[in-house]
Amino acid sequence: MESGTELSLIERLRNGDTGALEPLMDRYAARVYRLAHGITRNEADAEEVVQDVFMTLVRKIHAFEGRAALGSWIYRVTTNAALMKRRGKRASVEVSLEDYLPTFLPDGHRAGDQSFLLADWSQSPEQDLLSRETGEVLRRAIDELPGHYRAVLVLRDVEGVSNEEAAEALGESVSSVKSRLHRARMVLREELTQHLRPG
Amino acid sequence: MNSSNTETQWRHGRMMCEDIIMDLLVDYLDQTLGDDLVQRLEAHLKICPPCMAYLETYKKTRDLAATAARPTMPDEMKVRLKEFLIARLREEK
Repeated sequence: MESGTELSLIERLRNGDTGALEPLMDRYAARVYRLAHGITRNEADAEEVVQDVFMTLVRKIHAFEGRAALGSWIYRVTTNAALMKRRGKRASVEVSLEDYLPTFLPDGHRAGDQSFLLADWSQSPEQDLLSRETGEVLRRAIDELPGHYRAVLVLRDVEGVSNEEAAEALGESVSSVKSRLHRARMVLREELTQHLRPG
Repeated sequence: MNSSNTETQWRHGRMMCEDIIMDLLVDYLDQTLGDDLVQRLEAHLKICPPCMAYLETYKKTRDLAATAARPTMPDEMKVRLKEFLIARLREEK
């Protein structure tokens, strides 16, 4: 959708033409759902977030100033709504990241068993990497990430947004986004290595 | 993580595994490290099999997570969304 078309849809919505919603839903609903599901990890919660986001779009379209792209605005509203939904559930599921991060010797080398340090499963057969078991390990590991870490991972690695756009969606600094992204990836890498390394 | 501060910090120091894994990996994969740091990082990878293994598995983790966390919105949910919005907007008029 060209930006000019999107701007005209926004103008129509501002003027009370709810018919403009459908093309906007066609463009953004799947994206909103992916992000919402990525953060809430729950289909029913994600559906509620999608509904909330589009109602917010209708009610607050007058507050959308157009300086940022509509997509960025929608990402921000979605992220906030999904994190709020997740807030009540976090204590029972989320893990402490420190337990999964690499540790280092005084000389700067990684600590640990040599076979673990050398484990490179990246070239494993696709059937192993894409197996149901590996998928479940990965999904469980993503489920157990704290909400803000999971939000960054979904925004950056699933949605492919830039560090800057992710920072805007989350109301954080770019350095915070990069730090959280890196820690989230390291945790997942650790879990996958435990699962996939030989022996 | 600020690339220009990182470059200043590592201009004179010896690059160790911890530096690469904890401080430089994200910027390296985002291709935002300066050329000098890239060269030093890649020189370290050539002589450090554990760091090379870490990098390759880290990249693969990123790729796998991108597809694992990518659910499709069911068609019936799209229909419900439209019906929901129409109904709510009618109520609010």
